[in-house]
Amino acid sequence: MIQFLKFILMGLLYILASPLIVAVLALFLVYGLIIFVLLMLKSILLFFTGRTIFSDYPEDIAAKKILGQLQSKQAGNEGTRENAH
Amino acid sequence: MRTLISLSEKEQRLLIILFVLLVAVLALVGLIGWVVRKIMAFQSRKVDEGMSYLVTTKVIKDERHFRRIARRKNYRLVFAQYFFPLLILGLDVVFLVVYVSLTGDQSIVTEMFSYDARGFMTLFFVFDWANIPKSTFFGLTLPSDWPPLLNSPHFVLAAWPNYLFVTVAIAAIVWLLVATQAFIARSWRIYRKSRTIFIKSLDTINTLDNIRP
Repeated sequence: MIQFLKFILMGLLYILASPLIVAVLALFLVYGLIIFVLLMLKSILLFFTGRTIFSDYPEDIAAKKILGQLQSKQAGNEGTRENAH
Repeated sequence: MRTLISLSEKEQRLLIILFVLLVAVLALVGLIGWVVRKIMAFQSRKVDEGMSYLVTTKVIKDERHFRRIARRKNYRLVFAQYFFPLLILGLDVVFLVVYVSLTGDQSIVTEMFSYDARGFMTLFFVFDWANIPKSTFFGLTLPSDWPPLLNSPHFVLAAWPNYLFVTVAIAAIVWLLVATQAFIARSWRIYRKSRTIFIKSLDTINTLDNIRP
């Protein structure tokens, strides 16, 4: 019953806020379309240089390197432990 | 005993129906909102997939850096998710343009949403909402019955280009709106998480944990 009352109150809130929700959705849609056009142009330019917009960022490369080092360290530790046994 | 308001049986029935309708509509809207929020929570997890390992490896150390990288990744996802609906929408428009240029039948475009010719609305019930029957209730003029029916669903073979165009366009637009909803969900999560991940709080400091140089 409380859940049902909650739904009713939330429904009222959503109806009152619906113009705002629609406005936010429309703004983000326009924003998204602008991003799409800009990234499309960028991807076309990158295509001719043999690159893509989906390549890793320097931060991704650095993080993957750290994770790789950690994994090899762990594998090394496990290997020495097995040898000791 | 004197009563302030006396209602006829018809008015009582009308009042009950209105109340039940109002409660049903509010509950339905609340339920839809709840489902949308759950879907948005699911969509926002893409941020975690792309950013969690950058934070745990401490490659990203502050709020501004986090927001910059997360925003860039979010834009790439927007591009990827908008690509197919926009492509379908573009092909849909090309189809209509080719059809009109091949047949020379431009009226198919003007009749697109009509219910009495070759429009998409021939497939639906169409009501005459402008002439809906009304009755006065406590000084308020309220709808009291269904409006007159203008069209019953029927298939018109000659309207197939409009059926195809509008159906595909609606599907593509819904897909685009879902992608936009995901964009909003991710943007909101990036903003919220950037404010909390790098927070410097005195609450978490234990004075017994001495830091020795």
